[in-house]
Parts: sequence; C-alpha cells; structure tokens
Amino acid sequence: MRNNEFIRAVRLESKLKKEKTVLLMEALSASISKILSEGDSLSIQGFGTFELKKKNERLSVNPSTGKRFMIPPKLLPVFRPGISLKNKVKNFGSDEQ
Amino acid sequence: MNNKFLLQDLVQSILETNDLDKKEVETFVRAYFAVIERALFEEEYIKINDLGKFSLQKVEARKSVNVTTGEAFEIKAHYKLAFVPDVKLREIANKPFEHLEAVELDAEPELTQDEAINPNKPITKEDNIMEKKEKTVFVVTDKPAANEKKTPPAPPKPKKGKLVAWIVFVVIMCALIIFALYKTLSPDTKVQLPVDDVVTEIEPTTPAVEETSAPAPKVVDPSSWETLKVVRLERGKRLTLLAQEYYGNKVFWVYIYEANKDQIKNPNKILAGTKIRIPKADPAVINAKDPESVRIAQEKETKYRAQFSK
Repeated sequence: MRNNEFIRAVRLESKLKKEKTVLLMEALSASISKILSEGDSLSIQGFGTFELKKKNERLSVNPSTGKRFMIPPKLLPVFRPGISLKNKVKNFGSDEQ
Repeated sequence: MNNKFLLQDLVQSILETNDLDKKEVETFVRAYFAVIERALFEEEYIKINDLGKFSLQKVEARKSVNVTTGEAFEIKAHYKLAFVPDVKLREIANKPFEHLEAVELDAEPELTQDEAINPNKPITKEDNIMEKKEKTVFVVTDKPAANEKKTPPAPPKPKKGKLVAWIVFVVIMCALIIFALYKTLSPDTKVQLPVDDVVTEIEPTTPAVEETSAPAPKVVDPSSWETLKVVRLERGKRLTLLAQEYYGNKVFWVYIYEANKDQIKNPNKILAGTKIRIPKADPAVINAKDPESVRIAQEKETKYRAQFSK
C-alpha cells in the first residue's frame, strides 16, 4: 500500500475530513520523530514499540581495495512488533493455506 | 531520555502542535495503526511517508536442534515483520552522531589491520602461525631499544676507583642524553615513513632482504627466471595458493612475489585480475622436499611479513 492509499484508508477508517487527515498525518510523523529524537520510545498497545537502537562503531574493509574504514556509531530507529501482532504475523501464511 | 510513551502521550504530543479536538486525534491515531496492521495482512507491504516501510517477510523452514535435549526439529516457514525507517526519520534519530563520518584508517599499526583483513579471507592454520610470527617480530624490533637502556647501568657495579666510576657515570649520562634525543627525534622520522609511497618503502628494504639471505650462497633473482605460466589472479586467491599449486609448498610464494615485484606493491593486498607471472621453478632453489630451500623461503617470508606489516 502506498502513502496516498494509506491516507485514504485512514480517512475512511477514522471518518475525518481529508484536510484534517493530511494535517494529522504530518503531525503524527513529526511527533514520532520528536519522541525518538529525544531518546524515548513509543509503544502502541496491540501494535508494537518504536524505539532507538544504538549501533556501535565498527571496522569495515573495502574488499576490492583493502582500505579500512572506521564506521562511526549511530542511532537507528527500530520497530518491535508487540506480542499479539507478532503472533498474527507469524501465523499469517498458515492461516491462508 | 528513555521514557516510555504510550498512545495517550502520543495524542497529547500531537495536540500540542495544533488545536484539534482530542477525541478526533485519538480516533485518528487508532485508525492510523489499525490501517497499518490491516494493510500489512492484505498486501504484505505498506509505505508511509516520513515514517518508513512495513513489510511481511517470509522466513523459510529450517532445521534446528533443541539445545537441552539435542533433538533435531524443524522450524516451520513463517513470516516476520520488517520495518525500514524513512531516511528523514533516520536522520532525525541520528542527530547526536550526525557529525561523525567514516574514517579511513591506514596510518595505524598493522596488528589491527591484519585482524581486519583476515576475516575476508579463509583463515587457515598457517595464517594463525604467521600472525604469531609477526607479533614476535614486532616485539623483537622493540627490544633493542629497551636493552640500550638497561645495559649501560650495569658497568658501575665493578668499582675499580672513584675516577673510573665517575667516567663511567659521565659516559652513561651521555648515552642516556643521546638516547633521549634519538627517541624524541625518531617519532618524526618514523611518522614520515608510512606516509611515503609504498614503492619507496620497498626499494630500500629489498637489498636488505638479499643480504640477509646471503648465508645461502646463491643469489636468487626470480624475476630473471623463465616464465612457466602467466595467471590472472582470481578473487580470493592468494600467492600462497598459487605457490602450493605450482611448487608444492605455500612458502614459495615469496619467489612468485619477487618475480612480480613490479606488479605487486603489497603482497597482502593484490587486486583481483592482476596478471601474475609464475616463474619456472629452479630445482636448486624451489624444492618442496628440500628442507633447506624451504627454510630459506621461510626466512624471506618472515622478512616480507615484517616489511609489509608496517
């Protein structure tokens, strides 16, 4: 599903006006970004958790030139599905067949 | 930091940015996540601008072993959820480390380099031995410096007279001062060496290699030998493997290297596709069954290892 289809689906689901939906979309993304950028996590009941994960610095070697690079540490936003969503996803294929 | 925000807090945070009705925002947020979930199971894929992509990914069935009982069983094929954050979100999240960039490290001591390079190549037992050798070489080169310090203080012990002791003392002081001067100066000269082009490094050291292998009376110059074959170096292949193939012992890679010195700047890093000339083996020099020739090759090998580990 693409972004515009998604906006439409959310609009139908929430029965809000189009302008409001678009506005809220942006506000929600901004809020999630803000929460994560402050090092906090966001958990949505029944869905999952958005949080930051720190990746440590590491050595990397370019295999063709043999040059070594120190890749700096970074903070990566990750999503951990909640238990119920995870189980639904896990059994996704088997339900179908 | 490290606070756990819940749906209510998210709603609150959205409300701060605009003046909408709280109920509306809440229904919107619930709808938002409900739609993501629904879309996932309907289309296995959903992309949201500024947030990221969610998708279902199939994990194939695989065999596993129960750790406690040792019983083999099969993990059935299933799906897992993958989330790839949008570039925007990633950049915002990574703000604290934004200024950091990948740094090339080739001015550092070799030991770490070796550790870094080897994982790319199959590590054989021989490689491990080589590494150990290298380390010992490293230590040995350091020791003379330490010895210089320790040996001078020894003479004062046999006291033959005040005058002698005094002279010895002066000599020691001079030695220490010279040593200190040498030490303070030498880091500069040492720093310059690695900066120089690799070629200049090779040139002064090669004659030294020939000299040290001089105990063996023959002066060996494989570059003048007849060509047996020209090989294009494949990816992952190394001189040692070629030597094993053509001469029956890995150690003789040194001769292949010597024959191709103009092509190979550093035998540890040869570009794939480099044309390597395999010289025809002179049975007097290259003979896998002759321990003497193996020993000479090994000596050369240690030399080169030390040379290129700088």
